[in-house]
Amino acid sequence: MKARPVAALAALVLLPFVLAAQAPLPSAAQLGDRFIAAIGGRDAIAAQPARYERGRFEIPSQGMTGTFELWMAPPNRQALRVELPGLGTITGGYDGEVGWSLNPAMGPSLLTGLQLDQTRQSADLHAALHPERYVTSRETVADTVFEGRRSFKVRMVTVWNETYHEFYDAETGLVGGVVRRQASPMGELEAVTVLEDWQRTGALLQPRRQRQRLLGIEQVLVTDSVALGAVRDSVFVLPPEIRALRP
Amino acid sequence: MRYLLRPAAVLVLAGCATRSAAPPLEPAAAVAAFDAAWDIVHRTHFDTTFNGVDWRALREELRPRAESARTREELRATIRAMLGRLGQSHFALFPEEIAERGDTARDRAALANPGLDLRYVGGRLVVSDVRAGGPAARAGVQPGWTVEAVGDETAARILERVAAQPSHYRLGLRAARSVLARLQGPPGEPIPMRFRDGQGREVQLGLEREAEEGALVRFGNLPPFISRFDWRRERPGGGEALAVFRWNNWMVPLMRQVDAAMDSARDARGWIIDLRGNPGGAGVMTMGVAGHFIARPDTFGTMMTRAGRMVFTVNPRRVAAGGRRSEPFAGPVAVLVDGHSGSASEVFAGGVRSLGRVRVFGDTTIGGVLPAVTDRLPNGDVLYHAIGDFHTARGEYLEGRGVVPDEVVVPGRADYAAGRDPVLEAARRWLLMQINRSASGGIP
Repeated sequence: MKARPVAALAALVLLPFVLAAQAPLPSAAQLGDRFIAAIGGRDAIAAQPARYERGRFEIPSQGMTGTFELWMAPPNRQALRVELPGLGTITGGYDGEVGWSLNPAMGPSLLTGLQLDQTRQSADLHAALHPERYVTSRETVADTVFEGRRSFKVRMVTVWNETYHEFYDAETGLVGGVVRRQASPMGELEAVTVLEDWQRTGALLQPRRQRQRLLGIEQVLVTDSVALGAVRDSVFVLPPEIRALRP
Repeated sequence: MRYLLRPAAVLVLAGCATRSAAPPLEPAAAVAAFDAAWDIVHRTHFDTTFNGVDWRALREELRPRAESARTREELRATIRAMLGRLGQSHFALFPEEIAERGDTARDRAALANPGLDLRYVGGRLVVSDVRAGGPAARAGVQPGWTVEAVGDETAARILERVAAQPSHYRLGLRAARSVLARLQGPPGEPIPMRFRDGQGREVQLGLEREAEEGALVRFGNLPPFISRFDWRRERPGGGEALAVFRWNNWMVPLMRQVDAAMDSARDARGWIIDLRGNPGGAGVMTMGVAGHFIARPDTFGTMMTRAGRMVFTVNPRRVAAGGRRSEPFAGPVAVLVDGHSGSASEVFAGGVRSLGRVRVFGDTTIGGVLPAVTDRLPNGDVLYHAIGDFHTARGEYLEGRGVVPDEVVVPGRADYAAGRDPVLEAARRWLLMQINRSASGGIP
């Protein structure tokens, strides 16, 4: 009996939290719409020009620092070039149809399977406007904390039957990060990607810093400069080694 | 991270560490570095039983020793003692001063040596190779000579000292590496050495050090490496054309040369890939090299980490540089290994053999195949630590066991002295037999 007042007090203290937890979660579609609005709106996404980014690629724990260049053009073309001392130049891309990689250690390869699916999705600058192209279902599953910030966790199921999670910042509406099994030449590994330092470039907010943890090792992509509308078509042309691999 | 480091010179580097400076050390800083090293292994070791070691108890045992360390070397010895208890490969500590080299000329000078290689044969350290034109060659050192003393330390004492240190690695490898590490360093005073020549006479020489030919490669926090690749065509007895490839470590900048050579050797009838003395490097290269002679994207090895499973899969090389179409080499392939072949060399030899594509010749390899990465400790030193184990497509576990060749051939002192290479000869014989069988309609 003596415990009852304490229990009642505890119930009062806990009540707001319980109520908060029981509040309906925003739907995934609502979070998607809020994200679109937060980065600049549908029209700005639809009208975004091609862009060229340049910055640093770092794996701090390994003492590795290199550079990257990224070219993207709507609707869905991208080319990436990474220079890492001791490893050389790694290039890759997607031209709207073919995903490829030229890795000095492994040689040229055409992307297939999950690697190609994930590349196609990441290359689509309009993906947020047309989630149905890549996702068959999305559902908000938790009000949680991601990287120290209150976030809504959304389970995504893709058209290729991959399940992964996106985290929408409860305060800003921006995507704070993604947790998914990342396809690589060495198989799939769970990767935690954190999107930070959102800055306006033209009419859109873009993350200037991406941190990804794979195998407990963090790699960081820091964008130092962005140029809009300055991308030549030739950067997306498949290299001869890749063209020769095509059937 | 897609690139997992595989060690190239752990043993050599451990030897280098003993020459570093030993400034005073604050107890709090020592404990912080020790705790960080303990915690990294605790969080990332692929085996939550820590290979049977009570990891928490080990911290309690060694932490007081770290706290009482008065110099960085004493602290390093304590951390190394902790890592050594695991009894596994690819756990090491690199001193900050080595990891932070960044001056190319200084780095290259630090790797200078007299230009000789050693193997442990019949209980003695035997000169197995002498670099043409190098200081040892100029001084008259010949393959087949035995090392009797380095400076004031006799070979017998070196072996005793090395044997007294608990290690995952075999005594002969450690003894040879210990001497080679001592011979390596910036050019300066000649190193006094005593040898016994082929006639049993004692020879005393002072050996200079000289920088080696090859590319200086830095790979993240790891100390720098000298990387070399060479290849040749040969026609044993004027018969079939064979291609012989050799590289001294698996460093990615070599890959351009490897690709060019293997692309142009598609017309040879047999290939020999010589990985003797190759201690490892970037494991990711094994997938690209295997693709030069394996036509299917088969998986030849698997690595298990706490975070998941990673696979080593062949990337069939159907195109040469510049976009010329080609097909992977379809003829017989021999891989040569020895007791100094480690890590990525073992992943490659054991892995592609598990696909039934190569025959392995030589001596059993090191048995150190754990994929590893680095982390900086608070004191600036670099912890090198395994994060996964490895098994081949046939389920063979190579750590601590090594790759046992299909044809075990171990050169003796007389072979070195006479310039014979019985391992290469065995591989040639097998290749020519395969080629002849294929020509007569038998199994290729």
